[in-house]
Amino acid sequence: MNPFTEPITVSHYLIAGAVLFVTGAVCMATKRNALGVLMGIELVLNGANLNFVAFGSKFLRKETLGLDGDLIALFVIVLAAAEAAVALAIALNFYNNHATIDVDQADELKG
Amino acid sequence: MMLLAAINVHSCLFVLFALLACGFAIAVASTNNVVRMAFYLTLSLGATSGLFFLAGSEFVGSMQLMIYVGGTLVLLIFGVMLTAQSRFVSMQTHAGEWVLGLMVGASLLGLLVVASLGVEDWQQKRTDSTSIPLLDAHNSTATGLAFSGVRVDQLDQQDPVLRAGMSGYLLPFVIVSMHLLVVLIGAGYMARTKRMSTSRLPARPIAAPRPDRQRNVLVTALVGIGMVINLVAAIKMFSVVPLRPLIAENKFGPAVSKIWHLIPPLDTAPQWAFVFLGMLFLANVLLLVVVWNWQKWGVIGLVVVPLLQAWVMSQGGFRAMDIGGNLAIGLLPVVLIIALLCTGKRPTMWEQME
Amino acid sequence: MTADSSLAAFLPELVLCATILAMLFVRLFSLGKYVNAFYIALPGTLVALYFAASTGGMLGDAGGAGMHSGERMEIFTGMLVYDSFSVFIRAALLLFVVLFLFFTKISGIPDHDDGPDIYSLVLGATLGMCLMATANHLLMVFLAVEMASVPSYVLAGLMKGRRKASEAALKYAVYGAGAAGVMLYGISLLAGLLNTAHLPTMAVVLSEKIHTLGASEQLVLVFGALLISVGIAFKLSAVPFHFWCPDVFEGATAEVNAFLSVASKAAALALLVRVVLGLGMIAPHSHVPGARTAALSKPAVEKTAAVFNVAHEPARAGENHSPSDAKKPHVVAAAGHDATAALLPVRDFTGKLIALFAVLTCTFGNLAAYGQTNIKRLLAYSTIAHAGYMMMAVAALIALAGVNTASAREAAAALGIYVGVYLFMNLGAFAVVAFLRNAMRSEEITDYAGLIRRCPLTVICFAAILFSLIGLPPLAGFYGKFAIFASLADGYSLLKGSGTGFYLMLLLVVGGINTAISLFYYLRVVKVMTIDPEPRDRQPFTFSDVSLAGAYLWLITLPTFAIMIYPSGLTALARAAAEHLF
Repeated sequence: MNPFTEPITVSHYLIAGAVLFVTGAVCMATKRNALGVLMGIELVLNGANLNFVAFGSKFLRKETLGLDGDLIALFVIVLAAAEAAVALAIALNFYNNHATIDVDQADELKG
Repeated sequence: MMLLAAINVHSCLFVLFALLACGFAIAVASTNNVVRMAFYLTLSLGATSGLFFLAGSEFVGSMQLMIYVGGTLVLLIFGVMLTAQSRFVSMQTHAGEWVLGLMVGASLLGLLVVASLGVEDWQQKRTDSTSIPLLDAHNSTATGLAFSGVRVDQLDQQDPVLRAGMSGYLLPFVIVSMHLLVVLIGAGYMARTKRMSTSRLPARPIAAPRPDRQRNVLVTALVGIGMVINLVAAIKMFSVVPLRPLIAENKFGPAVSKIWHLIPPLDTAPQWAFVFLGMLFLANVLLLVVVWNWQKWGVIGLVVVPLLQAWVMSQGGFRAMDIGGNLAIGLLPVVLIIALLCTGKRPTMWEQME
Repeated sequence: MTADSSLAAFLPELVLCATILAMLFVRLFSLGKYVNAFYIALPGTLVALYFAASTGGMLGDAGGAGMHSGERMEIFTGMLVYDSFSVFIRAALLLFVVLFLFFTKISGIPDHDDGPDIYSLVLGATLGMCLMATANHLLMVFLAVEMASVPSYVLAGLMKGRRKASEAALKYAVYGAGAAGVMLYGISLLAGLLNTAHLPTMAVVLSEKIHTLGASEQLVLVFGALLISVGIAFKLSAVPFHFWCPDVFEGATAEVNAFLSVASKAAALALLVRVVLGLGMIAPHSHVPGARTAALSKPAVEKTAAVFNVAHEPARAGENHSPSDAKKPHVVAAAGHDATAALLPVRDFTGKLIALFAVLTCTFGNLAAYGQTNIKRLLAYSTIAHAGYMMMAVAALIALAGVNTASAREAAAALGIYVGVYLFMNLGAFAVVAFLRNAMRSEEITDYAGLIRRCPLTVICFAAILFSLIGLPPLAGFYGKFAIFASLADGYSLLKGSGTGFYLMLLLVVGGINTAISLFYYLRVVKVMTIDPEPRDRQPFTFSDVSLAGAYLWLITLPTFAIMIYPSGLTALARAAAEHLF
């Protein structure tokens, strides 16, 4: 089909979402920097969000997921923010422990 | 002119934003420099918000820009800046991991694309999308109302099954605030440095007990007598249930029967009360052993047990006088023991206990 | 507030919220800094436990008209479901938290300064776990998993100054967030295919569509289910998504391990049951909040109409009360029977998937536990294996669900019994590890050598707990395992000849073999503690049996013995919990 003349469908959105999801998953699997992995997670969440919005959109088809799609997408945005905050705090804590020379304490409390 | 009219602006914009979002996402995955990754991610997520606008979810799109791009990503970029030492900025991924990741990723993507292109329901085209009434198209009000628990979208939904599935979102809206609070506490905890890093575990191994601890003779006697008395009491309580019918038949002669009836409600109190009382007396014996072994909490237990006994007795329908008497008999020796422990030559026994 | 309103059913969670707020509020005042957060968290949890156990009243219907009998009621416009199963799981979770709080107080972690933070995180995670046990909507599934997980990431890094702890926290956070993201993508596919996110509605839509599904639709369904299973399997630490578990358990403190291995796992199992039954079965009739109270105050004629009103929107609840509606349930019930039969392929698929996970998890967990030298790693693999046993019960449950309701209830009851028993066993095991760590600063199994000469009572407790984890007869663990194996055998005899019957038999055989395998590594620990001589190079330490810690251990070990004296109590509770699932 010609994307410049035909109206777009949910499937097109899903393909875009799938690309985001897969690149995010690849990012999580291959990055060595913890922050890179976190960015991969953000991409995965955005792929899912794109799906939700597309499923709920009235402009793409008649029978839809309805408002549920939009609402779930909003909650995902909030939850992603919370998750990123905690993951970042943990990553920085890890960085502090493993970059500063704190070997004495670490050996003392070996568990 | 004909050509221009045939162009679907909506579709063109979709292609533009989709290419931007996907292209920068791939750029995120393919670069090794974490600073560039953060930048590409910002662009990718920004373009995604364009896709949201195109799908008619302008509220979600603006939230994506404000919270995600404006908040979460800035947070991530802070993280990048805080850890941006040269050796962390660019970390090479092993070639093997790349190959594996690409292979799995490509097959996953192929599967998803085939699946999403194959579902008929998702292939429907809405040709009349320009004729959707503006009132229906904009759903910010409906979103707000859904957060307060009322669904006003699709009021004309005929299918009762689907109508049952239209839930209000008041509970998640409220409970997510609790989640955010807890998460803030957690992030603050992780980020804060510990003030006294030594007080985590008990600073030093618990000091070995002094071997020369001496027990007061009176305390020893009291503990011993208490153990005997409590043991006898426990045996008596456990024997009440089997003995009761025999007493009622007067098998042991009038004298025993007379002693037995000194405490009248023994006939009427339920069986479980005696079982519990017996167990509590046994607990007292154990607690005395504990006190004997220099443990302070045994004394606390000795105070608690008579109170528990009093409660059990009150539930079992004993007379108030008996309850009070039992309480006094139980507590008096404890007070005596505490007094003995706390007096005498320094260091007193109480101070030597753990 | 009426007795069957949404808020009344939600009271335990509300109390937890209030407790978290109270702990924060008290710190605002200078005097409050001297208050140990334990003394705020404990009463709060006790009150929550009281409400969780009493609003259920699941053993009798005290409220009249079946008001409190724990029948299914969808609360908050279908977001959550309240029934006897949720009462059981929430009460078990809160009971565990109460015991856990005492445990942390005795072991001294967290200390006075960190208490408010850590207890807030624990209660926040518990709140999420309660939601996991009651989720009835795909958003709530995701939200609850997040609410339970994110505080747990921080808890894993409780000892934030230590390298291992921060490594454990980072691993847990990264893997956990990834698994949650994958799960969300699966949720989006399922919701998009069925055009609803409300689990019972999804089941109805699926049953209508199932015969006309094309190949691509089936592919999307299977793929979505697989992605969701990744998220749940991660929470359950099921193989192959278990890899985080030993590392996190080794890095985190034993206290946190106890919390993660018991509470998190019980909640994940409850969530698994909710999702699998939600998609694979037509939900039984559900009450509308407030309708029963309203019906009690109305004349008898209108009563039936109000009770059977199935509308969900509060705005519409007042309409449609005509007497003719009273006939509706029978029609619905007949249609529900056909729909349940139509969903057989869904149950078949999820049942086989769970069975596969269970076999892998159980076998791998037991085999990997062999070479461990660190007691926390050993117990981590042991919890993986136990997750496998518990998933077997879920497999039996879903296989029997459409076939024989009574047997399926038995399978659900077996799960409940196992969760109840497992709570005490694992808490006890980690309590021993924590107390010994406080005394001797070591978590290596070799350092436990000859411990019986130093603290015989503690060793006896630990041995009893380990025997119970194996499932040796007189102890509680045997009782739980027997219940699960009995329901598997029951399922096999009912479904003999079919593929389902075969894999139930297979599960039974694998479970038996695994019990035999697990014997050795648990017994090795017991042998080290009792027979081996004390190592000469061990640091001197003092650990007295007669201490608060020892008393706590006895208190926790007691139930493993008590169940052989009074086995019917837990069975009755678990059966009552399972009664309204179908």
